[in-house]
Amino acid sequence: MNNTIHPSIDSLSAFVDNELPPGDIADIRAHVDGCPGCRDQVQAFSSLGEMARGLDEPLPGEAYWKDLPDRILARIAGAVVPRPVPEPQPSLWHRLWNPSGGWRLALGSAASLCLVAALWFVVHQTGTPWSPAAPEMAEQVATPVADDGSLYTPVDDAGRPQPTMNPNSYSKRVIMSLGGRDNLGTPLDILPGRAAGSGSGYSTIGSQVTNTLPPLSPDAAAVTNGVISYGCGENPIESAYLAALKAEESGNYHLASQGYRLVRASLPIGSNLRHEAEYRLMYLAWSERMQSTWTQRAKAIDELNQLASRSFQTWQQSQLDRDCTKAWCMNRVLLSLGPEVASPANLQQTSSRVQQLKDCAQE
Amino acid sequence: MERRLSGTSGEDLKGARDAALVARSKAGDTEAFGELVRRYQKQVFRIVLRMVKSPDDADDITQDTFVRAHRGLGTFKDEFDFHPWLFRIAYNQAINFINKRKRQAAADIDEVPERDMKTGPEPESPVQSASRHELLGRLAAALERLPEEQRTVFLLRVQEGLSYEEIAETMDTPKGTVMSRLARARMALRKYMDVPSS
Repeated sequence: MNNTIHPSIDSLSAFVDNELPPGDIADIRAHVDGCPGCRDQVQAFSSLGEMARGLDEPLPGEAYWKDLPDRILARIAGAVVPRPVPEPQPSLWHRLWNPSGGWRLALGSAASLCLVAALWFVVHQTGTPWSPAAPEMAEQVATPVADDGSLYTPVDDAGRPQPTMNPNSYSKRVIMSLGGRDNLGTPLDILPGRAAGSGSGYSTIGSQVTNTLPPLSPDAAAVTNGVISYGCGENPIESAYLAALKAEESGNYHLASQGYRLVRASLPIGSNLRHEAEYRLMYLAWSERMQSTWTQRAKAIDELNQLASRSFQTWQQSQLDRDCTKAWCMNRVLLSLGPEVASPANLQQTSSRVQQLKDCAQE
Repeated sequence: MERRLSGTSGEDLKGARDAALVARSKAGDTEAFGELVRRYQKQVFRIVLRMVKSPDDADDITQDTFVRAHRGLGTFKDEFDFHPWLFRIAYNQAINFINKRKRQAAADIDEVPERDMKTGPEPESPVQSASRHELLGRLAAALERLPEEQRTVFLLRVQEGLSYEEIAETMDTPKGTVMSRLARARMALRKYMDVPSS
């Protein structure tokens, strides 16, 4: 090393830690010997380390350390007790009740009607069209259609009208545009319209709709005030979730996705209700993806299975709650959509993953 | 030389390498895993305590860390060292806890009467106990001003003596990032404390 050129601060710090290659250490030592400024820096770094070593936290006494392994092993022994499989679908009460957040549930037919109206009000603030009622999604999923390149068929086997949901439809655009604001990242990896390698992370159509859609305000307070001013009491976010559920049940997926999105934007990460909203959004996205031929549906399921498996492995490695939530959502979607095309062994594996993820995702 | 592990005596376990204990734990030997707990419990506890600042919470998280590690042994690759993997679980558990506490605090703000917020006792940081000694007190205060990542990197290095590679594994971050975070932490500490060079 040229002795007139000062090493970087990173290098001096690594020099103190003896974490540089031998050649670099010799060079820096030679420089430091002849450079008062760098020598001062190295000495200051060293003295900081010495001081910090004297700054130990007060630890429990020996009895604690003697006892701790036994307590841990006892927990491990208890943890291997198998849990019932498959996972029962949680009740609506459980899905809405979040003990940590203290959510209160407003039920009752009058209230429910009010909630639907409230969500309608919120959605209309963003200019979303209200679609006519359509058959239930389960029927759509089970209906093979011609492989004409379109994702959806306008009429089902019984000749009933289907919602118009092609890639340019509002529902599709809404779902694709969700990703831009999702700090959890859950649906992004699986959404149609997302193309790896492009600058923005979205395909052309994805970028177009993201740019042209009026964004739903992520400001929970504004949304909440809007719902409250419409006349509904209790918790307006729960109201929105219930309304979205009703919209999904009646086939109004446009509205449902808006409602779930509203819930997700309004609640903190970790809320059970937010998890449920994410799960429903992913379910909607994948259901849309499967509205085509059996071959394409099998391919979609295969892809989802890989993603679900990978997300589970990611969680196993990281043990982070956010990875758990993502994996939990993904595997639950697979469990919901898979029975038509997935093998029983595969479903059993997925069910096992959901069981393992259940606790940390709902913590 | 590593001892043979034909028996299950405490001496055998104490002399065994981590890799051997991990292999036996994977095969269902809880005594072997107990030895791993005894070997790393203090380090795990210290890492967690520095982050969550509460011995009770550190106790819970330390237990969770080992339980999760045991549950995840099947995914642990034998060619890697055990303790950085364990520390990463501990670190991530502590991060989860801190994030939850922040969310809870944010949720509680609306519900706590203003007088309680003003008169409630301040949670005492463990490092505050070092203020008996002026210099250590200043260092403790300076450490508190560091961003979480920088503080953790610094303490993992100087107190736990982990290598850059091990810190990178623990925090799931590139080795170069560890190097730069350490340098920034040291510069910031020096600035906050105005450390004399000699």
